[in-house]
Amino acid sequence: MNDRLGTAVELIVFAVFIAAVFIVVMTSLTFLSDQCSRGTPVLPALFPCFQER
Amino acid sequence: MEMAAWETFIRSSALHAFVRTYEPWLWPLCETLHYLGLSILLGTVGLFDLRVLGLAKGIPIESIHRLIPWGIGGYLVNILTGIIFFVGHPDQYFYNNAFRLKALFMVVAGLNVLAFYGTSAFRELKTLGPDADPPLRAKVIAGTSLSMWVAVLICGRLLTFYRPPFFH
Repeated sequence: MNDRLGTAVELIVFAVFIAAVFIVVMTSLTFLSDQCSRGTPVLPALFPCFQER
Repeated sequence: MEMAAWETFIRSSALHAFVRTYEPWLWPLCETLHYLGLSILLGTVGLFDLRVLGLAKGIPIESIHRLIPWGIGGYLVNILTGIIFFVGHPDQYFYNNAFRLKALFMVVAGLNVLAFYGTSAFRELKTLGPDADPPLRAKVIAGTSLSMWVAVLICGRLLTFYRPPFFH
């Protein structure tokens, strides 16, 4: 019983971890897009705004 | 704006012509291999990271470490198929912030590998018994590795949604 509970907790922690990484990635990409829309790009050398080639 | 010189060069290469000619079967084949490569990479390196972080303590770390060559194999498959994707449609990747973020995470993952094997972190782990708790430094490196590879996976999946407006 304790083993099953332990595995369940580990799986929940892992799912929260994946969700956290996903949120960080999505927030970063959304932030970059928003800054481009406002005409104030962040770190344009690494992440330029691609409106045209 | 004109097409950049590097893009013109890639588009005039034999590999670009080959990829575009056989794209209907080559692209799905490479996507499948890319998916398998990442699965093997995360299934071995990710498993090793989880063990260092404290999961499945009964398994000796050195035993799981024997799987790492499989992870390196998966990584090499992904580098090769990734090159084919990039050469086939360079604009889709170069002018894409999801790709740039993915590359950044891969660089951090690479530096993390250097921090693991280039310092005493790995040697310390090798001497540990099956139920021993790894030192904090090894856990930080394992946590960074797992985070970076999961982030690389997510960015790869998001590439399609951040294509440049001029891509067709």
